[in-house]
Amino acid sequence: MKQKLSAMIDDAAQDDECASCVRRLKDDPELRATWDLYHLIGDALRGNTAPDIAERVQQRLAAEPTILAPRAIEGTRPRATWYALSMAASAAAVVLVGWMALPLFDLQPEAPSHAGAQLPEPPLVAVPVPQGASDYLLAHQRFSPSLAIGGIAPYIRTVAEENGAR
Amino acid sequence: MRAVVLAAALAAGSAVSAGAAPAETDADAIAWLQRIYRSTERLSYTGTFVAQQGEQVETWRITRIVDASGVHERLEALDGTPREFIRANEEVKCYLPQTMTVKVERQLDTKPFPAMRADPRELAENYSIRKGETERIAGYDCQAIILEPKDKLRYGHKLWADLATGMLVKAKTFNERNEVVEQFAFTQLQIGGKIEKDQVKSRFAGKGRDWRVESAGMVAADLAADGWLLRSLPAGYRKITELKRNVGTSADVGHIVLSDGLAAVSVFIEPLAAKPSLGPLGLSRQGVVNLYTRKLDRYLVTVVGEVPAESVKRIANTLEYRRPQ
Repeated sequence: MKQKLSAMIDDAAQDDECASCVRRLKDDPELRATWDLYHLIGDALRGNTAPDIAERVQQRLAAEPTILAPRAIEGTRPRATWYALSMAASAAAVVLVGWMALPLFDLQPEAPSHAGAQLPEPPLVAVPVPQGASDYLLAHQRFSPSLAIGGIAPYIRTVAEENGAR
Repeated sequence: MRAVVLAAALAAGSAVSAGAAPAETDADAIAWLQRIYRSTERLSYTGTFVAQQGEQVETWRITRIVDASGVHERLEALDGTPREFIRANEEVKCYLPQTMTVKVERQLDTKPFPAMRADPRELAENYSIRKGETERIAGYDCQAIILEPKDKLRYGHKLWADLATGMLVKAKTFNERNEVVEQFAFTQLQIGGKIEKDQVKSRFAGKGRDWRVESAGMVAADLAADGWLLRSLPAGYRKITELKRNVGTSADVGHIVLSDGLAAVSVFIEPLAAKPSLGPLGLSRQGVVNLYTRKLDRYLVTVVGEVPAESVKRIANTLEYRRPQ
């Protein structure tokens, strides 16, 4: 049903599917909530949201029952555990639903896999590229063939934010 | 003795099959790659694509016209901060209308740069290349090609190319944990046909005369003669070219370009004294790009590439400086 809902939002559903969706929406408050959420995420992806959007989505998802939460073992700190898991689950849900609403992309690691990769090593800690580094990115892109439509396309990788002060 | 060899062979065999797909490079897949490169060089096209870099998703419009006057391209960000890139053969201009800045990159000498086109034989040493499924994208029936890295010093790629023309319609880049770090896909694409010249002209250039121009000229250079050496590069990477150029407001910056046949890495070298302020040293990242900065003698070294963090760090630490006598 959620797939049909997503299709309807994307204008990809058949008319009869839309009709049945609308009937179900009338009767099913949970489905209506999902409908709202999908629109919220669609808006977020298009950038048409109020600043508190992330918080609202988090709250909505955090309020959903978390089946991942393990039963508390006596003497442990169940509250903290539940909180952490529910946050993780919320983040996962946002990603999953977000990408469902944008069916063009999928984030499944389908291929290719790294040959000989055993357990991944802990990644080197990296911070976002600093402001002043945008010129290096720009200077590098002419020589970057890896985005194979070639020519000018790799320039999308240069830093987006640019303030005159440097 | 024979039994030992056999056991070792069996163990090796099972290790391979237990790991991820023991893919061999197939000739058909290499032929497809060659076709993609040839097509993307000679085709004219116009379209809109969505690109994801790390957690950021943006829409871009691109137009490319190849004719008797050479190659003209225009790339414009449709989301977020306005950015426009205009290419006329070897000259690239980057318009940033919010700060009224235009950054111009041009080559000062006439010898063309070595082609940054991937060499399939070199590629096959560093990646296993095979054909994937066929899939329909943006109205085109596409063939998928998978490039799986043979070590952790480069990323994996999956490319989707139009069956009829070889044009690249979609691409994904995977990190060492098999997560997508960059992807793009056309949502609308016209290959060939009539494309108006207006579509490769700047939309911003005519809006005001107060553009602050930052010009970056480039000339071929011999940095080894200046004492800069890259010994023991990570496996598969080799030097493509060496330049002297401007980078932003810094003049006379040494620029060494390395490649493994697909991914490129730039090494920038500039005197510390010429830097008014120094950003943080060490590793930083933007989407698929990793950047590593270190001091060496009285110089600042910055390594940038669409390669894993480990690779930029290793390359930065491989650079040696011997003051010329």
